[in-house]
Amino acid sequence: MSSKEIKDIGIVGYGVYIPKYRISVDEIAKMWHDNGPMMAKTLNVTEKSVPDLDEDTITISVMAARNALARADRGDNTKNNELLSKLGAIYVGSESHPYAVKPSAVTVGEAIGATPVMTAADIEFACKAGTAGLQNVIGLVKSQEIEYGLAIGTDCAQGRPGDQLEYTAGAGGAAFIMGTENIIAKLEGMYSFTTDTPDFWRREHARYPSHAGRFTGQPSYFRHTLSATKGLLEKLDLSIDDFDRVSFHQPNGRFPIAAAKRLSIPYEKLEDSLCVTKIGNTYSAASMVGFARQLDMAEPGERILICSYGSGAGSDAFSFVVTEEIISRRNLAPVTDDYIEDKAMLSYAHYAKHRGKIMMS
Amino acid sequence: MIIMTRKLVAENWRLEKARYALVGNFCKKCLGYHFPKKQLCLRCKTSEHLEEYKFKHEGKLLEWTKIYDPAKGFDFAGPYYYCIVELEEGIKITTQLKYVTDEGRLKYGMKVKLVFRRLFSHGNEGLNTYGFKAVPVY
Repeated sequence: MSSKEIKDIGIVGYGVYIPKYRISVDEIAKMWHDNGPMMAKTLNVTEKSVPDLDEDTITISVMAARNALARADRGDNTKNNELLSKLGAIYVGSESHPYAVKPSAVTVGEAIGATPVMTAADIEFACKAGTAGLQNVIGLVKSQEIEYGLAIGTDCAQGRPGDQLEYTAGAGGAAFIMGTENIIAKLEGMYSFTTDTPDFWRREHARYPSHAGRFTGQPSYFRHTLSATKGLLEKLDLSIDDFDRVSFHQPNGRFPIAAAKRLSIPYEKLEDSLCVTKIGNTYSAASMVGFARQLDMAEPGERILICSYGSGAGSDAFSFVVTEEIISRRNLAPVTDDYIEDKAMLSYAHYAKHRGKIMMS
Repeated sequence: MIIMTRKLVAENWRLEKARYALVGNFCKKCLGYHFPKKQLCLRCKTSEHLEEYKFKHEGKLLEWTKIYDPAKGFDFAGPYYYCIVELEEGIKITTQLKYVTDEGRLKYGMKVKLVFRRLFSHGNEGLNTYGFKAVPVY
């Protein structure tokens, strides 16, 4: 047993990356003779992000990790090497890793210069793989096995052409470096709620995921999100009023609003996290990108709730309190809105090319 | 079909640090930079004064050209721009130039950023090669 005192653990750096390309819900609807405006209203999503031809889960993870590192080294490049030498773990959570066998996390480690004395692994738990990685990192930092750890949630989500998922399946990533020194947001606690609830899945070698339609709602998303959030409040002896900001998983623009309503959370506390309306559902990144945007806008002292949801199914809830450090650190890397606003629209034909739906042989 | 040979795997691996993190070296004696990493300083003919150096992911645009007839394996990307970038330390590299929607906005000497992208996929079963590409900063 270590005799060292257990220090406060928190976020020392965070970064997001969202690809430049977008396709509108209207454009997808035209392709399938659906009613675009109605579809956009039903889903509360107008556009979704689309990866470039040369972007995948690995490239997005690297870009997000570099942004997190820029905030973690406090604008001083000389601290970069020192931090990297102490970065002991990298976990990349995704359901769209480019390789079935060969970790994405090692490429991230090599690209940011954290190798070789570190552990790394890829994690899969539908849309909550990123927060599962965050829990692993927190565990290692808390047990003082490592000084810093990096958890990334990234996806280039797949949606079957013509399926409802195609309207929302986006691409993006968020990276969080956890540690005990110079923290931007202090971790207060975490709580998970997990069951075997098969609402969404993709079998080995299957190109697109399958889902159980409305079953993804009440017994799945809502049961797990609400239970994890309530469990966290009980564990930390807090009430929902103690939180200034929240970020839920965002499979569409409706579900997180409905979840907040059922927990009596005012819309204003959720609003800043709702990136889904402009970039779609970024799967493993969704709740983390929403959380990052909340950090972009948070004031010191504010308490933020993040609750992910991964089909299959489970939710991880965390409570963070923002520190004074946020003021000097948030502008050391592009903020979430820089990426959301920097966009170029695609036609359905170009979208099909970008997503590998055109087969050359 | 593109088949990835074992030799190519090793070749790719040797260039990983250069492509992923712009790792080269700096000679403390002649104050020269090398990229990718060299075993010996080309001027001083010794490794004695060499240290590892990470180049910044920024530079200026020296030249560019538009490729209308892409090489095999890059068919999907065409047409695309290819360019020469001079890094802050004076090293010149060649790479793809992304997001050129209006060639008229490109200027000699303008700032470019280097981003992390997939450079090549060796068929459906081979490795992906990752590295840097340039993006103009308007």
